[in-house]
Amino acid sequence: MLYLKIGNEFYQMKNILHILRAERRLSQEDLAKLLDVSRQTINAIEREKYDPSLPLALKIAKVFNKKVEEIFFLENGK
Amino acid sequence: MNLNKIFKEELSFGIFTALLFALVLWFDEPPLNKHWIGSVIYIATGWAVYYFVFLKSLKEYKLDEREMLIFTRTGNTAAFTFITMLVILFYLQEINVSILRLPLKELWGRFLLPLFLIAHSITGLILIGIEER
Repeated sequence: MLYLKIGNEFYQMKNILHILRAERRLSQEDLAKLLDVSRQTINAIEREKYDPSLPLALKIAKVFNKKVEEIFFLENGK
Repeated sequence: MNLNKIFKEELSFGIFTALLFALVLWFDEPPLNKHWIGSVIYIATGWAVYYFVFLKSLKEYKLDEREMLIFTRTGNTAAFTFITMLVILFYLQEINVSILRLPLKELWGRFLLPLFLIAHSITGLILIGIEER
C-alpha cells in the first residue's frame, strides 16, 4: 500500500474491487483467471496491500466495464 | 501459489546440489584425486541450475507482475543473506566437519552454489510469508 504525496498532502490508493467482484458473484480465483494473475494478487489488491500496474488496472476496468477511476481512487491519508 | 512452488523447488535443488557436491569430494580427494571431474561437475551443475531454476521455471510458472516484483526483491535481499552466511562461515572455518574429516575452510568454497540457492529460496519463502500477513 503506497502513500502518494501530492504537494503537501498524503493520499492512499483505495479500491472497490471486492464490491464489484461480489456483485458479479465472482470468486477471487475466477477473477484471477480472467485477468491472468494469481489469486493471491487479487487478494493483495483487495486488501490494499498491492497497487496494480496501469495495464492491470485497465484490464480490471475492462472486465467490470467501468473506468479505472471508478474502481481505484485516492483518499486523504494521515 | 506459483511463487511458493518456485521457492520450494529451488530449496530442494539447493539441498540436492549440496549433497551432489559433497559426493564430488570422492573424485577430488585421495585416493582418486581426479580434480578435473569435480570442476566439470561444479561448473555444469551451476549453469544447469541457472537455466532450470532462473530461466525455464520462471517461464513455465508464468509469474504475474506482483510475483515478479517479489521475486526480484528476493534476489536483492538474498544477496545480503548470502554474504551474512559467508561471513559466519569465515569465522567458523577452523571447525572440522566430522563426516567428511576435513576442516570447513577446505570445504565451504565448494558449496557456494547450494548455499546461494538455499539463501535465496528461504529469503523468498520468508518474504512471501510477510506479504501474506
